Amino acid sequence: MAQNLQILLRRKKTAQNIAQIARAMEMISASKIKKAQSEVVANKPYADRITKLTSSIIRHIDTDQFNHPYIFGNEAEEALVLIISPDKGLCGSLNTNLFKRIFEIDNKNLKLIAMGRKASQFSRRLSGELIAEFNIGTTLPPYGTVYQLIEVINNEYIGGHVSSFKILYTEFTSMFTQAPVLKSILPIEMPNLPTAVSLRSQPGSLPLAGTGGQSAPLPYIFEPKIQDLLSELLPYYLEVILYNSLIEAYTSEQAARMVAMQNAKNNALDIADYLTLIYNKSRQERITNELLTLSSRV
Amino acid sequence: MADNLSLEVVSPQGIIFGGNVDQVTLPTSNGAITVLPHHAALFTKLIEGEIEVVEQGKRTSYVIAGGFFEMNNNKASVLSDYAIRAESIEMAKSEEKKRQAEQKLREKLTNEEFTIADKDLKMSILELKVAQKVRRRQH
Repeated sequence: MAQNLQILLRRKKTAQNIAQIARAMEMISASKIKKAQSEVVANKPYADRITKLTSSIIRHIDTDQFNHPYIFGNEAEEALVLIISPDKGLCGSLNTNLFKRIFEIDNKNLKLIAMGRKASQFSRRLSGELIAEFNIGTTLPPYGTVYQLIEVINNEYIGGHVSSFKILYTEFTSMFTQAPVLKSILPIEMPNLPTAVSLRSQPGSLPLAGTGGQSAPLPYIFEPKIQDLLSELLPYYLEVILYNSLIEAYTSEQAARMVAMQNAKNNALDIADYLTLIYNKSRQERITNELLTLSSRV
Repeated sequence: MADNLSLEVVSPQGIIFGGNVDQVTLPTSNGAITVLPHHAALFTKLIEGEIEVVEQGKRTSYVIAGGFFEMNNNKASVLSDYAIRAESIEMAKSEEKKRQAEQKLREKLTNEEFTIADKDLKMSILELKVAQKVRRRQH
């Protein structure tokens, strides 16, 4: 009995220790997430607009007249996927859900870029070829990270080694929901609209206001030439999308870790409470037993 | 409403400006242009410079670091890497940025670092210029 009490006491202390560590991790994530979340919220409208603008511009031009590689895919068999994951675990089911997603697509002809240590560990086990790996770090990824990624992507994509480029990351919707998404980035998808208005629009003619609304595309005036504009816009589009995915993935990680650690802390405290109760009960039992033995002797 | 155009200035720091304006002047790569309501659909590239917005007869300035301008259906949007309201430019901060960029340029740098420092320098000079101009206008 005496030994039992010792063990109970030790287990209780372990549970309390774990609760303390979990609480510390929760607080670290909570402080990091504030900054990250505001960054994501501020960046989202920008990324949305750039995406919308790019697709609306592409819709308005006669795409036969130029062949920017970002618009047209190539014949290569393999696809390039960038996986953005945390460097560390202990963030609930975030990593599991993320990696489950890759099995849903055909993972035979894949080339992989891993951003985050968990992603590189996972990618090594896949049949695809891991061509580059980066660490995401424990602070908000700086904008410069994007350029390293773009270099690798351009090498593969413009070099014609891969036919498409996708990003797999965890989208941050709220503190409690983060879902893995697989986004097709390149080639830039054409909106399914039949009319590609010629780029030689008449600058003199004014569009009639109120005709057709959004669905009837008005001819754009491009200044300077559309070719020059596109060669600026498209790489920029890629940059913005990549950066947005990076910070969303990072924010999701912190949010997931915060919630996971909160749960871990609560569970550990529950166990500690339960063990305290047992410990007190068995101690009382032992005292009662001793008293009984004493009184029976008298 | 009839004589307004809706304008949005969006940067990665958030939506800097949004509202109905009378006219807007923008720095494009072919020189400054002024866009009035019901302008034809336009898409152009912006260089770093000053955006001047006239809203109910009142002028406000923004400094941007290049980007894109799109106008369609009387809706205009400016997308830029960096945008700041002229009134919120802090002279001291811009001075500091300028000094740092200058110092960086003096050191030996890789190409990439050089481009960044050069851009920082240009931006800070521009910020200072616009801030001074706005201040003069107010006095």
